[in-house]
Formats: sequence, structure tokens, C-alpha cells
Amino acid sequence: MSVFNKVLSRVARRSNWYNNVVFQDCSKFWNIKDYQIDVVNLGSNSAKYGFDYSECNVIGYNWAMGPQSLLLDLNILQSYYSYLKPGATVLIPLCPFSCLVGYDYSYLSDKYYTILSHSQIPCFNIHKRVIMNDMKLNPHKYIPMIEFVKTVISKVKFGKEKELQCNFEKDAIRFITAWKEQFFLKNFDDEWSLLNKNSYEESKEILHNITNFCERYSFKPVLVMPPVSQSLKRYFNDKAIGQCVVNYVRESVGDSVPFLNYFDDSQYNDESLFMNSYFLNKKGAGLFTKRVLNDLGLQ
Amino acid sequence: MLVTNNGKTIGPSGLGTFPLKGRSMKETMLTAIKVGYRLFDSSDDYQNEDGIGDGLVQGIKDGIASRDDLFLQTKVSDCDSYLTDYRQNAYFTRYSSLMKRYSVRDIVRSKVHNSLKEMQTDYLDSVLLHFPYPGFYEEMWDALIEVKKEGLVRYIGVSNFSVRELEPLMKTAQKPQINEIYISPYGTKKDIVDFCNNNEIQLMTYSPLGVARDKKFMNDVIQSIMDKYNKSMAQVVLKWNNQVGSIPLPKSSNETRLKENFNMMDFELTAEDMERLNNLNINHQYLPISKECPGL
Repeated sequence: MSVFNKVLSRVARRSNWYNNVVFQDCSKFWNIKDYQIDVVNLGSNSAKYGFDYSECNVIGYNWAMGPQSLLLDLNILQSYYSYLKPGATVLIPLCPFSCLVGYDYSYLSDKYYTILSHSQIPCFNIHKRVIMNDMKLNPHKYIPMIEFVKTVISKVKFGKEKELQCNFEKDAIRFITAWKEQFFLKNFDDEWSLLNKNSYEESKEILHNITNFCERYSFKPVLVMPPVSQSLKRYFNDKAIGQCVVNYVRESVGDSVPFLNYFDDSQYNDESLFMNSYFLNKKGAGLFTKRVLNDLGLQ
Repeated sequence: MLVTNNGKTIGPSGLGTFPLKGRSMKETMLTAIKVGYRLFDSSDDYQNEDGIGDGLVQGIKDGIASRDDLFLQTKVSDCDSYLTDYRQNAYFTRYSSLMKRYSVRDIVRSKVHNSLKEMQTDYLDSVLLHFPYPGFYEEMWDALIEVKKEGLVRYIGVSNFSVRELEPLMKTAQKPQINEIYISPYGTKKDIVDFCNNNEIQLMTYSPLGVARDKKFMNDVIQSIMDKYNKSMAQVVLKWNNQVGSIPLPKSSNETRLKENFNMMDFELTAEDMERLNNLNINHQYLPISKECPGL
């Protein structure tokens, strides 16, 4: 690769397009340095923003990816367990509707070609893998010109992007609307369609498989429901949470796996701990991670 | 203790052959035979069994070795590498359509026969299961026992197996005779090493010099031991392998290094030095197994 191409490639690797669009959250799997990890969390966006081990006295890794289903949590764990020390704790974060995704591989984005093996990807496409690996190594060949220019300008001129202020009420409605569309729900506590009932049964099996995998490989599984802001919480009544989370956990794994439920925890009523109505911010993540580790006696 | 078909020992180390291919594989093999190497470690996904076969034929023709002098080892992988690199995971995975059409037994037999053909020999000294392919490896092991009974293979074993995966195989008609893994003073894997040594499973080490060629692993302990014996870091690491009961399989195509890696019989690490080296353990892994062969 010429020097010119190397420079282009370096710039492209710093772009939003590379890190947050095409290969969102992948680099954490490309460069794992520790082989004796004490604690790891799986999960989707709420866990990705909810856990931060940088201030903790354990070797902890945040393996959550946004967005990610429980099925892909299992695939990630199956592929990367060699990095965990025997007896390591595996945190399995749940989202309000984790139980309705099931075995749906339509959530498998192309980025997984760079972190999962062929054997874990149904309908594996060789050409796609070649392209994704080339894109990973030579992003300058693929980055849209406008993204490239934006990256150069933002790095040179503006430095760090400003944090946007969030209107929690509007943001909560945005999440609620999106979930209703994704899972074909009119009201969260309505009886589910057959499609959702089927996904629920599949999700029970997947959660059972994750905890079974942990036990088979001598890891300690712990289910965790991260907190959400007051603005979002008010859309979930007891029946909805009972159906989607509490019953789901009980029916999948019974009492055999510890379940730490912070969904309704008053310690997280302060909106300054959140970046939006659903995700914790860095300060909130630090506090929450310490709380979880404390509750597990790991801190 | 492993021996060649004519009863000779196979020496302190063997030759790891990945990623040598074709003529380069053949030439390296001939050089290695002249240095004294007897054990050549390949796999059906290294795409170099044909080079080893050519080296074998040439070596016999040149009079530097007979077939029975050499110890040819290969592995059964999940790849169909006789075509291209891209046929990874063609076998022994849940999404493979081949697993619906063919039995594990048929696939293992077919692969062993292919290896025999590629290596131009009528027997293999040892065949290993490359990884503990979840859901398949026990059946693969039964198939290997069969080909051993037929006399196509002298020893059968495994590679990258942990104690958890070895245990079920210990209850079969033939326990594994070899386990090829990665160990080093920085990743001692004491549990597997002890299990294999206690159960007469010959350990072999792939990529044993993965640490010795990396400056970040150099430290005062290694340096003092190198100075004490006047040996290179590679020789110290290879000797450590020998003394924990393993046959290291370093890869090199450079004649000087081939000699350096093979000639380590003239010194012995003391118990104290072994302990100092063992204390360097940071559970380093050269090839995180779950990335290559995800669990189930």
C-alpha cells in the first residue's frame, strides 16, 4: 500500500462512517488484549452505554453491540469465551423486548462477518466476507466521499463533536413508537400475536442456551436489567414488565441464575445520569457498573 | 513415546509447516531432513500436504531418508482446502449442507484418504482432529479409531483440546495419543499439561516460538537464562517445551534456524530455571481457540 493510500486509510478509519455505521462496535473484538477477563457483559445498546469498567478494580470488557439480539449475544460468547478466565462472570443484559426477537437472523448486519466465524453465520456469503474484510483493512476504497470530507473537516477544524441536549419526553416517545413498530404492538400489555408468542418461545430457548453455555464452560451467568429514565419507565406498567421481563426470565431459567433488575431502581431517577431516555451516559454507566459489581461482591 | 515406523525416536522437535506451500514446502522438508528432523506436522487445511508428499518422494530418491524414517502428521479440519481457502467450515458445522448428505464417518475417511494421496504414502504416522468441533468431535474420534484399526494411521490424537473435551475421549476404545496445543512460559496451561502427562498423551506445541520472536516478551528472567546457558531465546523456549513433556513444532525455512531449533540436546534447564520460567505465565494465547472453533 502506498503512503498516500495509507494516509487515506487512516483518515477513513477515524470516520463516523467506519466506526459508527459500517463497523459499529466491532473494533472491541478485533483487538482484545486480555486473556484473563474477570467480567464481561453482552447485550445491546442499553448495555453498550450502560457498562463502563474503566474505574473498576476488575478486568472487565463491554462486549455489547448496538443493536444486538440475545441470539447474537450467544454467538459472541461462543466465539470469544477463550478470553475469559475460568469462573469469570458473564453479565447478560436484557432489554424490555429482548424476549420478542427469537431466532430472527434478519438482525445480522454485515459487520458480523468481521467478528464471527463462517460456522456461525447462516447463509454465509463468501463474497460478502471478502468485501467486509477488505473494507475493514482498506476503508479508503469504500468510504463515501462526503463522509471522508466531513471527517477531515471535523478533525481539523472543530475537534470534538458537541454533546446534543436531549428532550427526554420526546425521546421516550421515539423509543416507544419504534418498539411498537418493530414488534407489532398496539399496547405493551396486550395479548401477543402468534408471531410474538413464537418469538417468545424461541427467546426462552436462547436465554436458556446462553446460561447453559456459561455453566458448561464454568462461567457464572448473571441476568441484568439496566435502569431507564423516568420518562421512559412510565410507559411500562407492571403487567408489561411482568410479561416481557420477569415472566420471561422465570420461564427461561427459573431461579437458577441470579437476576439483577434495576429497571425500577430509584437510584437512577436522576436524568443527569442518562444521555437520552433509554441509555445511561458515561457518569451513569460508571455508577451503574460499580453498583452491579458491588451487588455481585466483585468490587 | 512416539517412534517412527522403524522404531526410531523422532527427536526433540518437529517441523511446523504452516504456511509453507508447494516447492517451498518440499525444499524446506529436504533441508530439515538433512538437519535431522523426522516429524513433519501438517493439516488438511494448510494446503501443503502435496509439498510434503513431493519432499518425501524426493528425499527417498536422493537417499537421505526412507518412508519409515519419517513421522508424517496431519489433521482433519473443517475445511475443504483442496479447493480454495474460502471453503472454511465446509464440514462439521451446523449450517453445512454437507452434514445432511454425508456422515461424519464418511467425511473423516474421505479426508484421511485425501491426505494419504496428497502425501504420496500408504500410511500416515499420525492424524489429529484439528479442533474440538462442537457437536461433532466425538463422532469424528470414533471414525479416527476405525482408520487406525485399518492400519492407515499409526497414532491418532487431537489438537486444541482442553481437559473438558479430552475427558469424553478417554472413555472410548482408544484414548488420544497426542494433543497438539499452544503452550509457552507465558501461557503454561498447567491443567492440560498435567492431564496429558498423567494420561500418557504426548503433548506437541504449535507456534512455540510465537513469543520468542516477539521482543515484548523479552525480560530479565529470560535474558539471564539465555546468558547462563549461552542460548537464544528460541532455544530456551523450545527446551522449556521439552522439559514440560512437549515436542515443539517450530516452523522455519531458514537452514540456520532449522538447526538452531533442532539442536538443543546439549543443555538442560535446572528445576529452579523451569520454575522461574513457569512464573512468567500470564495465560497468553497464540490463537484464541473459540475464535477458530466457537463453542456450542
